[in-house]
Amino acid sequence: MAPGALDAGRLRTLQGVGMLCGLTAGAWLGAAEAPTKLVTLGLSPVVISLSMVIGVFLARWTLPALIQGTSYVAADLRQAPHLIVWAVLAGCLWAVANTLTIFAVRDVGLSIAFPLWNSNSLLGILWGIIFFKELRGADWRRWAGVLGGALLMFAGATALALASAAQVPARDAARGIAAALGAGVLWGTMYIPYRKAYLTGMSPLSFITFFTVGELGMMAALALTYSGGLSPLWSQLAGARHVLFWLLAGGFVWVIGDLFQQYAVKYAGITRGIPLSNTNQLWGLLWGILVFGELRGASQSVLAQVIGGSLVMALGAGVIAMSSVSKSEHASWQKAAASEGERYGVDPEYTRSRIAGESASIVRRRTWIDWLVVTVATATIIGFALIARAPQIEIAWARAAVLVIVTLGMLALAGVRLWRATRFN
Amino acid sequence: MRDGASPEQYCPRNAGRPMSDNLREHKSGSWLGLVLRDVQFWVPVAVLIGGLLVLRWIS
Repeated sequence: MAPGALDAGRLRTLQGVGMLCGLTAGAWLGAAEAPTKLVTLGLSPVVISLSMVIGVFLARWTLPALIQGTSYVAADLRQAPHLIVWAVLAGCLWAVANTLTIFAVRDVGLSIAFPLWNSNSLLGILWGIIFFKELRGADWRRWAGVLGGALLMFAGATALALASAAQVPARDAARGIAAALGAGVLWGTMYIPYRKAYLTGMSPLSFITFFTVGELGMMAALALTYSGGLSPLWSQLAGARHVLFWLLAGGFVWVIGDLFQQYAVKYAGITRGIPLSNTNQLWGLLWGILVFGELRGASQSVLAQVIGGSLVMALGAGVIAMSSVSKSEHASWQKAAASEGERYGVDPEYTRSRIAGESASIVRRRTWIDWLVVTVATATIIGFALIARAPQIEIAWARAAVLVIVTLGMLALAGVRLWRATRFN
Repeated sequence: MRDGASPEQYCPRNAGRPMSDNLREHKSGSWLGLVLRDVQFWVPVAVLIGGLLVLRWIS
């Protein structure tokens, strides 16, 4: 066995956890759309995006403080301080992409925009192969599984888009499509910093704390620019205060999904983790149809397209999930990790142990800072909840409860397995 | 140590360390420069600029 190589059992465990995290990410990223559907006011795209990002910011500091403690995050960053720059850059990419998606939904509708920006997984796979030696050393079946599965998912997503395209009037198709594709390219490229961090060995919980600084900074700059300054932006936010809670909640739920997506990238790689987390489209559709009554009264052919597209997408996800990383491919990952560590002078033992999901002797302890972060975030969310208005939209509560239970069940399952296998490293 | 001497007297901290460890100490002060010299860094930067231009066009 090569030095630092994982034994077959450990590799299988990490792969399984990575795949499960990808699927759980899909469920939570899809569920994040539900609170935003409750907002029917004519808010500007940047105000919606900024409000979600504020919720995202709160969650991205609260969860690491609760799970690992900020001292763990600080110790992690001391090992690889260069990743702060990469994290901030990734956050900027995310903020611009998220804003573009809101313009895309406005101009061509969710059904067309969603599969277009979900093409990010194809670009992510390309970057994974080019920059991080993913799929190197893999046999042809794994290549076919990953690429075929990703293409199946893309085809399924396109079928879902076509199914309801006629129901959404396109305001400005060219701009909407450019926005959706632009978001896909930005998100697909965002996986470069993700993979860079996780090959080095950083915990996703540490990475996201600086990721969100870029996210909030870029989003605030965009909101100030496109709203015409601080005063108009403030008055728009004040006017929307009764619905801000739903957007914050959407952002918070989204972060849980994104966190699992990051663990999926860490332990299953971009080529497997991202396509699996892109099953969020299926979950978004489930919420839309079952809870919010979308596609009600649709023709048989539209329903057939929806069911067919969903099955093809699920099949693609299944094919990818079965294309696990072989030992020879994992050896290529380790070579990429070693060259990354050498480039930035990271302790090889830190990288080796963290890739294996071990703690690299960093001690977890919570301080008053952690409790302060959690208290401030909780108080902010409760404050907005108290002034929130009940949604004026028909909701099938029983079905919503079933989906919530299933989504929480996936969170519990993936969370327990991730904790047992990696202690959230 | 049986004679009470510290381990460093027999094995100084820097002795026998891999070259990458020394390189790490040398590089730790200039990690920002290393990021800027990393070709992979400029791919997301270029995409970010492109995204901002698309946003400017559609809004």
